[in-house]
Amino acid sequence: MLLTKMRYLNPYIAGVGLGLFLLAAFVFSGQGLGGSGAIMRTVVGGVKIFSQQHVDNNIYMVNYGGGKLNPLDSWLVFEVVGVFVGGLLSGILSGRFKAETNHGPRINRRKRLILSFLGGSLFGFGARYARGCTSGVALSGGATLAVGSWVTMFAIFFSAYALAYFLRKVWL
Amino acid sequence: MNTRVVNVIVLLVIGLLLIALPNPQKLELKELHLPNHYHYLVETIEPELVAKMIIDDFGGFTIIDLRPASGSNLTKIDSALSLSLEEMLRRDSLLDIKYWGNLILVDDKLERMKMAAYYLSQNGLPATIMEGGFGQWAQQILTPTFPGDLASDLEVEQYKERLAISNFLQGKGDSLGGGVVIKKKRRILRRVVRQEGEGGC
Amino acid sequence: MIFPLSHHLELSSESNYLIAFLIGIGFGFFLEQGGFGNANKLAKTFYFRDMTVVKVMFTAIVTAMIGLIIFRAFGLINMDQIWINPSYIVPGIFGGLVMGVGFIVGGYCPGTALVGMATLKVDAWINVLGGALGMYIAAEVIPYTYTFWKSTLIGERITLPEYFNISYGLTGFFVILFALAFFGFSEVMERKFGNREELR
Repeated sequence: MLLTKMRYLNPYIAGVGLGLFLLAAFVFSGQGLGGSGAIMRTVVGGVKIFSQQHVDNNIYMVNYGGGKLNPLDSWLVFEVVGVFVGGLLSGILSGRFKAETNHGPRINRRKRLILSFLGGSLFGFGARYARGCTSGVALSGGATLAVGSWVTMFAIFFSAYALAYFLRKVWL
Repeated sequence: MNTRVVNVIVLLVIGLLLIALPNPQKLELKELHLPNHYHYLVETIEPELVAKMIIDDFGGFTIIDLRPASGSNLTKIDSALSLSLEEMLRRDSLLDIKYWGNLILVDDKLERMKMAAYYLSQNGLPATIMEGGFGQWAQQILTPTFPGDLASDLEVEQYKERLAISNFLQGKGDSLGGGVVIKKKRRILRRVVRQEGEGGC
Repeated sequence: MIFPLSHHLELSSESNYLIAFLIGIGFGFFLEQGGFGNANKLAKTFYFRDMTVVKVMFTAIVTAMIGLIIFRAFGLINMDQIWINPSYIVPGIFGGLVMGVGFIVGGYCPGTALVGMATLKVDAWINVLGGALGMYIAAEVIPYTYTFWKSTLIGERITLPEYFNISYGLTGFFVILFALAFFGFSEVMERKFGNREELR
């Protein structure tokens, strides 16, 4: 049973709510929030099933799953499970829990899914170089005033805005 | 009044109050902890390599003696600059250190060397710590022990080289006798611990 | 210095993970409530039609930052025990630029895609799969570009107040000013480009 579709929360109120949970993460665990770290850890977990040796020989992956390390044994993984549950709760409560594909009016579903996959790959690739995504770097790093995080944050928005014009057919 | 205007004013007032808050500086040694989230990349270098670098007049590096200045420091490295950890933390600016080249930190205690390396890296200055500190320096470089009567030729050769280095560093001879040649080109730094930090994301 | 509590109370990793789960629920809830589960809404940010994403993000940053600055000023929090992102400038810019492209092409960032997944958005599921592939490729490529990946470190834990040698409070004030200016700008742009009915 779904509730009637509700409006989104005022962005400033949502922002304060988000900020308080971010603060709670620092206060309780000394950790920022993250999104892509858990995905990376799942990937390493997958690679580990196929070849432990490959993980051990990769200077990057070895930090997550080298030897007896369990890549999923991490604060961020449990946090992301919570994000999933929280999103689910909110979606059900506000009547937005519905299987659908959101796409711009001028492209079809298939094209949208291809672009989504491509965009996701690019995002994931970049996140590994910037050492985190919008949650881990821009949000958490922004709040702790880390220099590199602010630089990365501006880089993200710079390139997204710069490219937006050329992709207007996808979204508008 | 418009709620939006009220919100803006409230936020501005909070901002102004923030400026008035005290700004504690963590420049006391007892307050400097090596953070546990922080997988620190410690680079170490062997005393013998440091000695050879001094003799070869390698350049581009500075040895920093981290001990608090006192007359009772028996072991010394002549070419080292004295900048105690305590003094380093008190300083307002570490800008001049930027021009000192590769930094090699030496102290009696490993913990202090790590702290200094961490503090410097926080300030954008990567540093290397000398394996074993002054203890190992004294033992291995200044007073090398003869490997014994049953030593192989190679061990004797190594001993001769060490003795020559020791004598040279202590001013007992200005040339490296015994036909010891110290190669100019060599790998300087040995990375011992290599761990990457994990992003918050 | 009672914060972070996990350090002060020496919590086991199990209880720490429970905290992680609970905090994650709050994070996910407000992300979804803010509209981050919908790629269409997210992408409109980049056409100045619906500035929700940046509004939510900057409000969250400012809120958490104010809290941290106050706790720090009164010696309640030990900043040495707080994770601070390392500042590798050039890899950070490179990664940021690539992520920006990924954002406008894919419409999600990993955190928001997870929320989209939770509310059964098919594009979000595909996006996360793509993200996993991109990260796997990065993990294979990083060893070959290791020197670049480790380059231009200006400080493992350097923050803006330390970098500019000003107090945390003053930095906070500037961030608030910046955020306010940005909020004002967003409202003006929304009024200009935004479709009233499209908004929320």
